Amino acid sequence: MTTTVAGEAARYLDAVRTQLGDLAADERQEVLEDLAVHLEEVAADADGPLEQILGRPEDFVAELRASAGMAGPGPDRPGGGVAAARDRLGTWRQAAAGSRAGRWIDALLPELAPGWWVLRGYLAVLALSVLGGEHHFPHFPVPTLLGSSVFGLAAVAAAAVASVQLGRRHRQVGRPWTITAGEVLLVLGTMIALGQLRGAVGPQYVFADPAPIHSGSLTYPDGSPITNLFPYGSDGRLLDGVLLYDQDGRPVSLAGGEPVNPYDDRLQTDYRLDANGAEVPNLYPLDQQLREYRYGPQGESVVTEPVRPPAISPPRLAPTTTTASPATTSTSAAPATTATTAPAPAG
Amino acid sequence: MTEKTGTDTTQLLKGVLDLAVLAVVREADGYGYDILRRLRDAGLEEVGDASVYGTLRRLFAAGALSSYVVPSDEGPHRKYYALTPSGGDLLERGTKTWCQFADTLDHLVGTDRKEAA
Repeated sequence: MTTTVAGEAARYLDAVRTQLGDLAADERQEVLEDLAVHLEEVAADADGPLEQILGRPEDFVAELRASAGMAGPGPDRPGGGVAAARDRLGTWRQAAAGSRAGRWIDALLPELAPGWWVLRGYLAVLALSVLGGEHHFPHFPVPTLLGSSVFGLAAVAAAAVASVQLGRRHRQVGRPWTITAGEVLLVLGTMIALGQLRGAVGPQYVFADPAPIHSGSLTYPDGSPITNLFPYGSDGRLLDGVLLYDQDGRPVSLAGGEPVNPYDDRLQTDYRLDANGAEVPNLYPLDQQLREYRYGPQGESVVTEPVRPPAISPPRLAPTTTTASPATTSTSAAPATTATTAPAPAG
Repeated sequence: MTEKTGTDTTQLLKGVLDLAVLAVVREADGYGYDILRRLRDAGLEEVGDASVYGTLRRLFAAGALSSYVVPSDEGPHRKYYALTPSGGDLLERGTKTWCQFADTLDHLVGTDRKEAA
């Protein structure tokens, strides 16, 4: 027999339940099931508060025990200490419930209960997921179950329904202490797990070495490295063995600076040697190989690829025109050596 | 004065509530709240909910009452109590005891009243 008890009758029944804490679970359940029906009917006919009609819950229970021939709670009874503590807690709760704020909270709690039932179902699935060894929740707060968020979502729906059913049942017959203990564990466990999960929620990122393949010092303004120089003739042919110098006559070398990542040995450069056996760092293009480390079932392997010149399309140049340059005229050279060429016809 | 009288009635009721409940159920099967109302309608206005409910439980446990559940579309399912044969015997014996006791008390009270007057 199940009865939905709400409002004042539910609160009165709760208080009676507390007073009957010493009874065996099945006996208490039976008493409360019958009383639930009774209280509903009394409340429906009542003009005033239930306590005014039935007396205080503790007096009601005392009268019930006396007339039914039930033993009262005593300290010599097994588990009497726990029951006595629960009685004291019940008395304290009733005192608190008598205050204005207490009545407000007391009225609010039953309203909030269904929300909590759904939440605890969700938390149970989350706990199952974490206990099952899931470390990654790409669609948090949807828990991952058996590696799938879809399973997780289905489990949450099922658990929420089961939890609500359980909650409705316990509202009528009282909830065993094991449920309360389980809920406390669930909430504590969730708080601990959430602390650890912070890095595990959302999309999964794989660490990538941001250091560019570069061991030289020349970069573009945006920081991207120049690792080699490929000189082309105006006819579009790649030149080989080109020596480059800057405005002060210093060799333009890409190997002058500190390597960006000293552990990065993917780019290998073989410098040509001069007659004395010294490396010539500014002879371009540099002879380079790119090493790739591969990890497979056969273990680690290294694949070396020569660095190839980029595919370019050299610009088509306009015909050469030479004009008098101020730099030439300011020198001590004779004006006779200044080359003059007729300007190219316009158009 | 009224309170004093009420307390007295409550004390008296404790001894005879079993008999009163059995008598009401003999008239017709009933559920807890219904039995309570019938007792009150019969004049036992002081009877408490918990007392009647506890008495029903005890009589049921002793085999004097049987119970059955009647489903209800409008409200909760109700547990009805009915008199068993052993409950009938108990009621019969209780009635005899009560009548003898009431006679004795009538006689006693009547004597006292005469003496007082």
